Amino acid sequence: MGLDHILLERSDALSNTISKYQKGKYIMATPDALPLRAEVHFEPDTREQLLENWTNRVNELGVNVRYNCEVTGIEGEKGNFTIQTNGEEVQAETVVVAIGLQGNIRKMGVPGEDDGLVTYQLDDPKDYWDKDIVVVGAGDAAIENAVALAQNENRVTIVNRKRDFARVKAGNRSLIMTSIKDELLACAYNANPARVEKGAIVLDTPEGEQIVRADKVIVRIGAIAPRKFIETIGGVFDEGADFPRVTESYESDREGIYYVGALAGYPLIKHCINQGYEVVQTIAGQPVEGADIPMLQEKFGSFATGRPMQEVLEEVRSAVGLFNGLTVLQLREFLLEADVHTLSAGHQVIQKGDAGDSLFTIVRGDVDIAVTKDIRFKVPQSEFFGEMGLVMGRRRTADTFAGSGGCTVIEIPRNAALKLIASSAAARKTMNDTILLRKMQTFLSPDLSKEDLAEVMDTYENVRFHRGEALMEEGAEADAAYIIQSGSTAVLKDISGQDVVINYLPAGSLVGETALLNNAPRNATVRAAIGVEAIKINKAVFTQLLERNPKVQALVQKMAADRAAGAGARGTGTDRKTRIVDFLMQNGIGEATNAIAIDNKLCVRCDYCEKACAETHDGIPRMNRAAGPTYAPKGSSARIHIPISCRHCEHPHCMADCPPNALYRSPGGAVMVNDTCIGCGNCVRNCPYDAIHLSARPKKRGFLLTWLLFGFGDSPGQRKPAKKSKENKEMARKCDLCEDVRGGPACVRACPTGAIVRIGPEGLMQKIREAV
Amino acid sequence: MYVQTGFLESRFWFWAGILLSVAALAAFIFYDPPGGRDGSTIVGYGLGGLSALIVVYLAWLGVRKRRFSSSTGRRRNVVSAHVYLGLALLVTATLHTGFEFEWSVHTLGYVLLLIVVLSGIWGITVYSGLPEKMSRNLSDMIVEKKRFDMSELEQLEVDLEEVDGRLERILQFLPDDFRPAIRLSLDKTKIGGGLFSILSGSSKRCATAKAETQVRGLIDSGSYDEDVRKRLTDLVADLARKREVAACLRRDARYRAMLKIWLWFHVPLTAALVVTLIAHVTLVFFYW
Amino acid sequence: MKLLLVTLRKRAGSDDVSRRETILDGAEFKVGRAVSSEINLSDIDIDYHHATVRIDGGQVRMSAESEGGISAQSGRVNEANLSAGGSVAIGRYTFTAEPGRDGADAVMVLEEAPAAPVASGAKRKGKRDLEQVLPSRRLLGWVFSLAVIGIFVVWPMTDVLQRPGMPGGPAVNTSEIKLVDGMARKDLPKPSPMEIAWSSGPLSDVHKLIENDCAACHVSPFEMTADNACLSCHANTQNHADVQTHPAVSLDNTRCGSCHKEHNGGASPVETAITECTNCHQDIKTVSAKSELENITSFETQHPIFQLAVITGVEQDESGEPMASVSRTRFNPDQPPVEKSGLKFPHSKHLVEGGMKSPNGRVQLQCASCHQLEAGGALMRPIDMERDCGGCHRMEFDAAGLKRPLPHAEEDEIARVIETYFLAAAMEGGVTSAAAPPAVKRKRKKRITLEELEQQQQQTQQAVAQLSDSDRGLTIEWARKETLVQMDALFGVRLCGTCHEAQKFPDEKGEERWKVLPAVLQRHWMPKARFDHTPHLSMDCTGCHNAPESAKSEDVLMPAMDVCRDCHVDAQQTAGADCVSCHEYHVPGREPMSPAHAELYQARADARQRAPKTVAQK
Repeated sequence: MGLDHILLERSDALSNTISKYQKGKYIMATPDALPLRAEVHFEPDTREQLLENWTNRVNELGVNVRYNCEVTGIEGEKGNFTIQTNGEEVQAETVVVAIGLQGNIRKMGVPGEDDGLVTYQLDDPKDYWDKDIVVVGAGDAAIENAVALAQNENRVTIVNRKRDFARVKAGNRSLIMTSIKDELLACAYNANPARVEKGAIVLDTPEGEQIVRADKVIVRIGAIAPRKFIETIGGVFDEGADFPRVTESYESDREGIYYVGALAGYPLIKHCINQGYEVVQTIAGQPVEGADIPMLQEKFGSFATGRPMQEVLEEVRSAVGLFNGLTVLQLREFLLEADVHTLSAGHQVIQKGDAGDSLFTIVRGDVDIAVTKDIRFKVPQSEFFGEMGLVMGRRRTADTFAGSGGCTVIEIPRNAALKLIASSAAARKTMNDTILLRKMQTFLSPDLSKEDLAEVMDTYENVRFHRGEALMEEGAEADAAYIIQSGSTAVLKDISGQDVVINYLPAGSLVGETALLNNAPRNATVRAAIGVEAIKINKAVFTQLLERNPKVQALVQKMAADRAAGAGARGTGTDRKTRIVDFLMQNGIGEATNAIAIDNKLCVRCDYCEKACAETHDGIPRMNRAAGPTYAPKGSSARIHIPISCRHCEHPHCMADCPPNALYRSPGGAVMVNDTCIGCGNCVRNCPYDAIHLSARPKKRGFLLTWLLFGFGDSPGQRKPAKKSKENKEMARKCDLCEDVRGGPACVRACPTGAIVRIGPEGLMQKIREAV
Repeated sequence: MYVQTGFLESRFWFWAGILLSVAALAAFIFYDPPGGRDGSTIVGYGLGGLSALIVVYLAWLGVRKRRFSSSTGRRRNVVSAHVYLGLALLVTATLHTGFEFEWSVHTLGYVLLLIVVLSGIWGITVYSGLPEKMSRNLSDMIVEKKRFDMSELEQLEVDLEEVDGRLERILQFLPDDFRPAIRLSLDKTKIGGGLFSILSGSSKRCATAKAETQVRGLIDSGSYDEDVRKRLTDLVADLARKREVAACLRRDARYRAMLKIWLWFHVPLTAALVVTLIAHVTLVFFYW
Repeated sequence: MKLLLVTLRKRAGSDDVSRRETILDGAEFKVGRAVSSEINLSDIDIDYHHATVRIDGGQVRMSAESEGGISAQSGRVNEANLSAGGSVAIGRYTFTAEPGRDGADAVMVLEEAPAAPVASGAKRKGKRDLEQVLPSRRLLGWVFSLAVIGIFVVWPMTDVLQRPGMPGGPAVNTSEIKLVDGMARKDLPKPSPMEIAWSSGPLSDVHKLIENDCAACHVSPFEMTADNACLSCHANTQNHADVQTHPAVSLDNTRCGSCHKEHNGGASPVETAITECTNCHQDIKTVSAKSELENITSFETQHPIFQLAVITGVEQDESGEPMASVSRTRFNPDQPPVEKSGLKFPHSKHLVEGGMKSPNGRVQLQCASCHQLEAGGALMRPIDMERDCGGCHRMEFDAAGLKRPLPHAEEDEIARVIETYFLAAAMEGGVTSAAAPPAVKRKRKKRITLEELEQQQQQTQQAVAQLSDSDRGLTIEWARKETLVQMDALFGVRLCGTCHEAQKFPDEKGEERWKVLPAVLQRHWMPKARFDHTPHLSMDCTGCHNAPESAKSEDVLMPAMDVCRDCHVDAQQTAGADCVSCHEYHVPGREPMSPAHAELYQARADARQRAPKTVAQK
């Protein structure tokens, strides 16, 4: 376009964020749907390839770049800016800030740091062998580096200034913990670097100074966010916001200065590039609408026909409670991933029992939720539904139909919705309120209104519990009730001096509710079987509510009476059985929706389950019979084994961090991987149950009969693992519940003795209760 | 306590088997042709044909149970059928012979069938008894399962590796007289080996056991300073642990073998039986 | 003293080498496995304190502390002085001395070769799975299966095929042998155990004698025995009924074998199951509309009443042989059938208690005194007068105290004997009776005794001839008269008359002559059935044949069906009531089973004539 421009780059090369990535890292171009509109070419590729392309392209275009030029401040106003740098000043009419959030790498700031022993990134762990290496930091990067180095026969010490690795991904946590336990590497807890000496680093530890021999010190302690700098140049951060405020054309509060990319809240590369383009267009006086607008237009279909998108978006934002807190830009981003359904009256929106995990919000009209035949309540416009599936990872609990007069709903997929809740406090609040309300409605009576519960609404707290932490102790005074939002809990009772699990309450249940009904002390202990998020309803508040609200009081008394009548109805099972439940809980069955259990008293170790699994899945077994925990205490006649295989968790850990979003939950409830998997191995690391593995697809040789008769070919279910290649990529392989196979899971069908079962936790408990 | 229902608990096939046997017996008793009860009477043919069909069906299990991709029914039920029809076979086939045995391919067939079924019964007994023993054997030996993705067996292997590692390391603190014992344990501790040692699963001649006694002997005889003494107690503990684990692994190998060995009779002889049956039928029907 | 120790470690599977330098300070430095030693060689095979290193004059001296020693170029040594460049080794560690630097009195480079890769675990890995120590089940399966085929199919087959008469063996002219020496080929080798291995059971007794001759029945391998094989012995097997009128019984394309199943042991391969018969006979009409037979379900329940072959009269054919006219009459106890056998025989008289008088005093007769089984054993032998009756009923003519034997059933001879007697008496003379002519009364000088005369007829004739014409005439006349008188007595009353009817007939000369009317005894009362006395011998004859009660010879002494049924019922533990125990399937007197039979029967017949000739010619 021939605009007069200059590109100021702090370091000595462009795009150094990407150049800091792990060597050979494969970089995705998400969101796929979004069209790229820029001069530089960008497609999924390896770090090296990408960098090369870009540098070439930039040179082609003859971009005017000044390297090693760090901006310190900006003077003047639109049309006449003066940019101070560590070099000479630069004059400009408008400034586009695209510094991202990485900011400056954080240093230790200790003497001797710059004597060459210290580095701030690790390109290839293979570069070091049989060296003494100290890794400073306790983040994901630090852990990944440390372990990689240790596995390469280096003597590694990881320096953690805390007493645990709390902040990191679950996968990395288990990785580092096992490494430390196996003495693969050493860890200095509560340690801070004091100074760097020749061939060693001195640490401040509770036990005093400690000298650690080091051929290399690798520091991975993150970066300083550029907030300060932004504020100096007139950026404004809203209350609680992580990003400076920008207009829809990405212009900051200080006219003439634009923010794009991560800085504007768009970490995705494609976004950055597009925004850059749009901003430049705006500056050039020929503004273009966002690349996503046409797509949104299409999404809204009839809802938006004949109206400018602007208007539609505004309507949506104001209409939907969850969206109120969002900027139009953020809204656009969400909607891009969402689907819009405009449905005629009575049309079914959600099928009860489906394993959907998306969130629905109502833009127009309303819907009917049929909890049971008689309990049916309306969800009015602006509210949302389907949160059970999203937040609690439960199957759809009720059929839902478009209300009279039809409705327009927006379906937000799991990840987007989670992001929404995370990013907007307002959204989070709305979500909790609704969950609370609905829970109370189903618990007490559907005719409870928001108003009835006003106080409770204002006073409940969100609480988190770690695995094993107690929500309430048996015998303690009952001070509150909890709604389990995610995770699951085990109900324990003190039987002959030791706690045994008598029940298991999945996400979505209301625990300690008796507290709301009467003043009896806790009749059981409730522990988090896994990490639990819960809404805490304070009893004091509730009792006040009762006093003021006879309607609710009546309901509560009725309920209390009913409870008293059916007291102790809940089957507790015998001591030995509860021990089994206990074991299952400790092994995370609590968060499973469908897991394998093997009765070791029947299992003859033929491994047919595994072979069958392999045979029905391209010769790659998705389970490991022998591995996994076994319940076989001395003196107990029960022998239960939980082999390694996917448990299709309520909140799949594997989904947490999947670049191409290849992991999804099928309507049948199975967590599946689709072909877009790039084999990055994140899910493998994140799965706490080792249920996912990477492998290429092996070839099958021969047939069953040829093998059976002449031993030619692979024995069924046992193929030679394949070498990965360009056309046969390694992909994440995991259990898919054999959903596409008639007759259910092959492992179960193949068991000659009937030792194995694939079942949900409730079902398993049932079996155990019934077992003789 | 069984959480699952095993292959022996199929009511349907149990009664099917009983019914079959009783029916066969009744037919045999109440039908007394002048020629005497044998394979060449109407009932005789009936029993023979039936038995032959059953044999073929049962033999087909070998293929069927490996047809993993086929989604027909649960193998457990097929196995139940296999078991109870197999037992009924004992009756039908025996009656088919009419108790006329002589040196002939026909009697051979019956003898083979007998061995096959008996080995099958053996199989049933081990299947219903050993799994628990096996599980107990390993589980009781596990001290701590370090890694989730390891089987108990692998865990114990790792334990042994670790003990060996410690044995080598600990020697750096011990005088040379302990070396032979440790060497013995390191090099000569064998698990499994030939068919016999697998099946016996005995740990009588376990090298580590010897090593342990030697070490104990040395300890009693010599006098050592405090540090060495501490390490020696560790050493003894390690050797003891290794001895136990090794014994456990031997037992495991033995159980594993016992679970399978009957198949070495059951399967090949079934093949022979089928061939013999073909000969038997051919001869009987084409040779009159 | 300062020693700079340079440790070099080689990276396995690559040529990276890591180098670390440590300064050791002291008078002497221990080398060994012990962690306490300054130079620690962590290898189990190196001694706790293996060697000691000292430095004097920039020279490194290493002296061994264990018999393990140090290996230098020269071999194992106990002491080594290392000047710069010199090197020794302990186990996988090599020490090389270098001139001192950086303030160190000496420098020693310690190179550690990577440990032998063998993991201690590897030593422990014995074979632990049966798959590793046993041949695969697949292999065994093949071996066993092939063994069965080899031993129990191929081997027997080769033997069988090489037997005489089999495709692979020497030819045997079956039809010949079977005829000449009544079937069995004694000279055939006994079948080997392997051939027996195919047999589905022992042969039936009746076929025992051809058990060595497999080819006799199994003409060609893997074919059911063809009928011809059976026919070669059982050629003259008749059909069951008239095929023309009852085509059903022709049993086209049904093998002998389909009814007669061999290799089941037992007496004979005859199918005895009642159903085989009743299948057709319980409703015979459906099988053949023409049949006049009654339906039979079983002997016990539904079986036609016995139809006896009763003699209703006896005639004489032109040849003079007696010819009985027989009628089959259903046995009906109320009006018992009447037999006209031409004989007079009251069983009651003969079997009377206390016996009856006989020439040699009183004798108590039994059934068996007259009725004996015939050779075959099935039926009673025919009654023979001389043998069975003659004991008492002596055939003799006694006059003047002389007993003269008379032949049975020869009227004319009897007449001749008597006449001769009277002529002789005349010639002897001295007859006293009044009617006698003088020539007879007269006493002769030259006396010839009666005996002599009777013995030599001519003499009598001569004597008669020598008489004067008148005397001769009178004498002969007298003798004839006397003879007639005697004959009347013998035939009419005394001798023949006791059992037979006799009449006088005029002969060609017009002279009256006695004749005994023909008589026949029924031998086979139930021609359609086959009754065998032998198995019944244990019983009392009178149990079935009520002879003691029977005073008339017209009585038919056959038992009623119920008598048989007392024992013969379908139920177990009885004599049984198979059809074939009385009736044969192949009815004697019918045409041959099949054309094949006919031909063979003919061929057999011819051969039977030829056989002796051929023998003679040799």
